[in-house]
Amino acid sequence: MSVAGASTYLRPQTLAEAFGALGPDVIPVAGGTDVILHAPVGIHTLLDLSALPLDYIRERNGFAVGAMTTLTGMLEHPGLAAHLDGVLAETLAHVGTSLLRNLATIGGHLARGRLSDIVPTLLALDATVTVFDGKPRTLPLAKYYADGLNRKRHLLTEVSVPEAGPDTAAGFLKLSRTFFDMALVNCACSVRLKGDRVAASRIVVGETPALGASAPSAEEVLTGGTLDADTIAAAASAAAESIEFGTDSRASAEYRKVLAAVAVRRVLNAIRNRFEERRR
Amino acid sequence: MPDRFNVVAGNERKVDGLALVTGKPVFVADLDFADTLHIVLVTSPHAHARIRSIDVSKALEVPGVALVLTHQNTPAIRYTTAGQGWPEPSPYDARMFDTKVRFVGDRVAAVAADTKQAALEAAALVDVEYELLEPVLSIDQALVPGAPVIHDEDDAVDVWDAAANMPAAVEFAVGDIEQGFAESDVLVETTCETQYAQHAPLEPHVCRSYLDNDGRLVLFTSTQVPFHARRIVARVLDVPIHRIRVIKPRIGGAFGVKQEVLLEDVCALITLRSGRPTLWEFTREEEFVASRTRHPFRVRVKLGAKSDGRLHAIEMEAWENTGAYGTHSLTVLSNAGAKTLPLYNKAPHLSFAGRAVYTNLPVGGAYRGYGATQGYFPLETALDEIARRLDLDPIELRRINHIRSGETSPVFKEIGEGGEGVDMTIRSCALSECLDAGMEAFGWAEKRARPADDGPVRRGIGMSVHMQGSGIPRIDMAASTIKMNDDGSFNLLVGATDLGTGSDTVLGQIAAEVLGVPLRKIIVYSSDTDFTPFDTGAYASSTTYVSGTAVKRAAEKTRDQIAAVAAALLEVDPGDITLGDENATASDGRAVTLEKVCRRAYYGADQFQIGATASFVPEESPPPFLACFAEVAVDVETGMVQVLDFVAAVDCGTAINPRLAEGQMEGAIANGIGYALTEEMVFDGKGRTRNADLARYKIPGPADLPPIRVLLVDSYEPTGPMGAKSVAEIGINGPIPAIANAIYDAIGIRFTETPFGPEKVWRALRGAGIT
Amino acid sequence: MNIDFTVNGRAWGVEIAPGESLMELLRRLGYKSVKNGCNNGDCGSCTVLLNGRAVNSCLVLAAKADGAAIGTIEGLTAGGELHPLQRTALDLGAVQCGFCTPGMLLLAADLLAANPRLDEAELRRELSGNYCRCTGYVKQVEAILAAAAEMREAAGA
Repeated sequence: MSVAGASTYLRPQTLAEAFGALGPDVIPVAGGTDVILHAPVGIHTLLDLSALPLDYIRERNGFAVGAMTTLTGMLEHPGLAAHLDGVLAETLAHVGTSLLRNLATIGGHLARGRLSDIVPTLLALDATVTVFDGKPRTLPLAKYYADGLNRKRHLLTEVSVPEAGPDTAAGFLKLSRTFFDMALVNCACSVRLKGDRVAASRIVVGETPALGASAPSAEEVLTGGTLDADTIAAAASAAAESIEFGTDSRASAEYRKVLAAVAVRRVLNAIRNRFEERRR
Repeated sequence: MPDRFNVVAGNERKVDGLALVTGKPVFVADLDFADTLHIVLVTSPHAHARIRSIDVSKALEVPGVALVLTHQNTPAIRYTTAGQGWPEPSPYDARMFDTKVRFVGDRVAAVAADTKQAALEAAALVDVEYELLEPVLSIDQALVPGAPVIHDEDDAVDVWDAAANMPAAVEFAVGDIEQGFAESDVLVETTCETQYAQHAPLEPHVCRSYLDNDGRLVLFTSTQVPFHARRIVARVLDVPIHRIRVIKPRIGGAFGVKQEVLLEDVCALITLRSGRPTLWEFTREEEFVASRTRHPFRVRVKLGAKSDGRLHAIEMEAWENTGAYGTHSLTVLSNAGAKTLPLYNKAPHLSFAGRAVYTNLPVGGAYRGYGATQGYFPLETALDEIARRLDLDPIELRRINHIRSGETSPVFKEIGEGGEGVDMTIRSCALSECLDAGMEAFGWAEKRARPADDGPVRRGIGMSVHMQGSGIPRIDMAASTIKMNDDGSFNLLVGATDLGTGSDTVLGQIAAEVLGVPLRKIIVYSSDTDFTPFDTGAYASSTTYVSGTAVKRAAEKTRDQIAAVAAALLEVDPGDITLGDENATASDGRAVTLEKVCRRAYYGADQFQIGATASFVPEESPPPFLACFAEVAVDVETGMVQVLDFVAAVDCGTAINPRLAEGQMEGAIANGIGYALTEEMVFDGKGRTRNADLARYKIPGPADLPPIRVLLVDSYEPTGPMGAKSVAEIGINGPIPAIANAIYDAIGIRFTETPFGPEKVWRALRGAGIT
Repeated sequence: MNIDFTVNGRAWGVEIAPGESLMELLRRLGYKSVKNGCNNGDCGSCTVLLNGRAVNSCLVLAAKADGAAIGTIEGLTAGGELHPLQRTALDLGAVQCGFCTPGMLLLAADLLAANPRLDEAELRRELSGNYCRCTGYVKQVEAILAAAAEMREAAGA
C-alpha cells in the first residue's frame, strides 16, 4: 500500500519535538505497518519516531521495553522471552510471522489498540505503560485503554512488565482457524500461589472481538482455593459467563463464549502443570 | 512398456527454473514500456442495476487521463469470456461494458492514464446513475417464479432459459432409475453443498498491450489460452486475427482462473485508440471479486446397492450457481456427472440432471476439477454410507465397483463438452494398485484397528476414489514445431501454455527422448501466437496427453529426417539408424553426431531445414485415477479439524517428470484441503463480498497442512506419449470427501456443506450431544 | 524527499514520495523480483531483506529505507554461483510458477542465519506468511531443510 496524500516526512530527534509535531493531519509512525495500510484520508504528515531513543529492553525489577522495540527484538531478548515460563515468547510467536515481527513495534501495536494477541498477555502480567503528553506518566495498561488514551494525543514511550517470583506462573493460548490468522479468541492467565492456595490471579480473554476483557468474577472463583480441575472448570465457566462477546465475520458471539471457556480452562490447566513441574 | 527412458521419467530441473530462482523479470508486470497507460477498473457497487447514465467528464479532466471506456464508446457485441474452442459451449451473454450491471464487481468503466494514481483519481470521479433492481443472491431465490431476470437482454445467444435464470441444462439417463432403486437392497441419499471459493493465484490477472513497430497489436498477458484470447479479442473489437499477436510469458499460477478473456479486450482497445502501451494489474480484491470463482453447487445423489455391495442405481441431480454470467456454466455442470459417474460403470441404472442458475454474485469459471470436485462430494460420501450399512470395508466397496481396464461406461458417450461425448474403452487403470499402495503407505489397517480416542481430540480416517480426464476428445487440438540447429540442438515451439506447471519442461523431455538428446539441447519456446503453432491451451488436463503427443509426432518426423541425412552420410538405409546420446547410429555401430548431420543439412549437400510440425486431436480422454486416504483429528470442544495425514496414490500413466507430477498433486491436494476446511467467500445481504483479501479468505498454510504424501503408481497408457495420461486436476477432488468420511469416522457426524469450519463442526457436535 | 540506501551492495540516491512503499520503489528501480501479490502484507511475495531481516516490503515506508542495506534475491547469488537455497529449490522441485520463490528464499535465508538448526515444525510456522498456491509447501520445506543441512555441513557445524 502507500499513504497517497502524504507530502511531508518528519523524523524528530526528541520526545518533546515529536509530541509538539502531533496534530490532526499528522500520523505518528512507529514500525509503519499499520500506517501504510490504514492511514486515514487527510493525513499529510508522517511523523517517524525511529530517531527517538526508544529501542531498548532493560531488566530492572522486571523488564522495561522501549516503545520502538520490534516484536522480534522482544522475542530475541533471552530474559524477556523466558520470563514466566516463556509466556511472552509463546504469545509473540503467534503474532504474524517474523516478516511482520521484524517491523512491528510494541509501542505501535499497543497504541493501535485493536486486533491483538499481545494485550491479553500484558494485561495478565499487570503491565504498565509510560506515556508522554507534555510530561511522562506511568499507568496500568488496562487504564490506558479504559481511559481511551490510545486515541488521544500522546506518545507511548515504554511498556513495563513487573518481576515475578517462583510462586507465579502464566500461560497463553490462541484459538484460530489457521496458524497465520487473527484469533477467534485468545486467553492469557497468570496465577500466584501462597503455599498451595491461589493468592491472586489474572484471567484475560481477548478478541472477544474486543481487545482484552478481564474476568474478575472468574479470578474470585480461584482465590483462596487450590488449583484443581473442578475449580479451574468453574473459573472457566465464570469467565465465559461474565464477559461480553460479539459476532463478526470470523465467529459468532455464542461460539466465542464456548471457545473462551475452553481457552481459560486449558490455560489454567497448563499453569497448574507448570506448578507441578516446579515442585518436582 | 519400454524398459527404460533416457529423459522421460527423469526429475529434470525445470527449463525456466534458473530464471525463477534468480528472480529474473519474466512475468507480465516485469517488463516496462515507455509511455504506458495504466488502467483502473470502475466496478459496480450494486448486485443488480441498470445504468441510467454515465458521466465521465470530470474523470477526463484529471491531468494525465487519456481515455475512459464505458458502454457508450465500446462495441455492443455479445460474446463469452470463456477461453474455450470455437464455437464456445458457453452462452454469449457478456458485453465489454453493458448497460446493466449484474454483480458487485461487474464492469462499469475503465480509465487509462499516465500514472496509476491519476487513473485511480479519475475512476473515483466517474459519475454513474443506477436504477436499482432486486438482486437474486442464491439458487433458491433465482428459481422463485417471477424472480428478477438477470439476463433480460434480447441479443444473448445460447442461454437455455433466460426467463427462468438458467443458462444451461444437461440430462441423460441409462436404464430405469426408479426400477433400479426398487431392485436395490440398500438406498442412500444425500444432498451436498459446496461454497464459493477462489483460485487465489499469487499473481493476480495482469495484461500489457502495445503496438509493435509494424502497428500490430501485441497482447503480453497472463493467460491460459493465448489462441482463444486472440480470436475473441479479434471478434469483439472487429480487428483481423492477423493484426493481433498474443504472448504469454511466465505466469504466477492460474488453476483455471486465467482460462478467460478478462483484461485483454480493454487493454487492446485502449492501445488501438491511443496508440500507447497499456498495463492493467488486478488488485487482490478485484482478483477475488471481479475475476472468476469456483462454481458453488448443490448436488443430490441417491445410490441403490445390492447387499453384496454392487452399485445398482446412481442418480445425480446438480444445481450449479454460475453467478452473473454463464461462462463455463454448461461444461462445468456436465463434468459434475461426466467425470464422476463413469467411475462406477457397472451400475445398469443411471440418471443425471443438471441445471445452471444465474445469480447476482461473482462469476463462476474454470477451476481445477471443473465440476468433478463438486460431484465427488456427495458421491464418495454416499458410498461411504453404503459401506457402513452393508458392513463392508469402504476400500472393498470401491474394489467391487470401480471401472477397470478394458471396460467402458455409457456416460462417456452421453456427456461431453457441452454436447455429446465420445465413447471410450479404458486402456489403463491402476486404481486397484493405487488402493493397495495408498492403504499400505497410510497404514489403513492399523489405523482402523485403533481403539477410539476418548479425550477431547478424536481421530478418524476416511478414503475416496476418483477419476478425471486427459483433454477433450475430438475437440482439443495441439500442434508442435521442431527445428534443428547446427550444433545438434533443437528449438521446440509449442502453443501449449505453461502456467508454472512445468509443461515446457515435460514437453521438452518428450522431444528429447525421441531425438536422443539431453533436455538442455531442447530450447523450448511456448505460447506466442506468431511463432508457436496452435494449441487450445492449458485446461482439461490436456497438455501432457494432447500437446505431448503432438510433440512426440513432430519429434518422430524430425527423427526420420535426421535418419535420412545420417543414412546418406553413413551410406546405410535410413531404417538402419537409431538416435541416442546425441548421435545417429547405424546397426553396425558406426555413428555420426547430430551436429554433423545438421551441418550437412544446412551447408553440405541436399540442404534443407531439418524439422517438422505435427498436430494431434485425441480420440479418447484416458482418465487418471486416484485413491485418497485422510486422517483427521477433531477437537470436540472447539470443533477444530486438523488433517494429520493425507496420502494420495495416483495413476497418471507414465509420469514424464515424477517430481513435477508430485508437485501438481501436492498443490492440488493442499488447495482441496482448504476448500474442505477453511476457504469460503462470504457475502452480505447486498451481494458484496465481505472477505476479498488473503487475510480473511482463509487458505491453510504450511503449519496447518500435513506433509502430503503422493505415490505415483506404476501405469502405462498405450495411447499416451510414452504412456502418459495427465495429473493436473485430479488431486483437488480428493480432500473434501476423504476428509468428510474421516470426520464421520471420528465423531459420527456426516457433514454435507463445505467448508467444515470450526464453528459449523462445533454446532453439529452440540446438536448431536457430543459436546 | 531524497533517500540513500544500498540494494545488494549497490548504492542508490533516489527521490521518493513520502508515502510510497519500499515495494513500489524497488520495482520502479528495476528490482522486478520483488513481487506484488496483494499489496496488503498478507502474502509475502514482496519479501526483501532490510538490514539483514526479512520483511514485507509493501509494509515498509520507503522513507524508512534511508541509510539501510536492502537485499533482494539477485543478491543471493554470490560470484555467479547459486546459493544452496536456490540450488535445492531447483533440484527438489520446489519451484512451480516461481512467483513466491524470491520472497520465500529470502525469508529462508534470514531464518537460517538466525537459526541454522531450524526444525521442520518451526520452519512451517515461520513460512506461514509466505503464501504459495502451487506446491502445497511439501517440496518448499524439503528444499529449505536440505539447504540448511548443506549449509551446516559447509560451516563445519
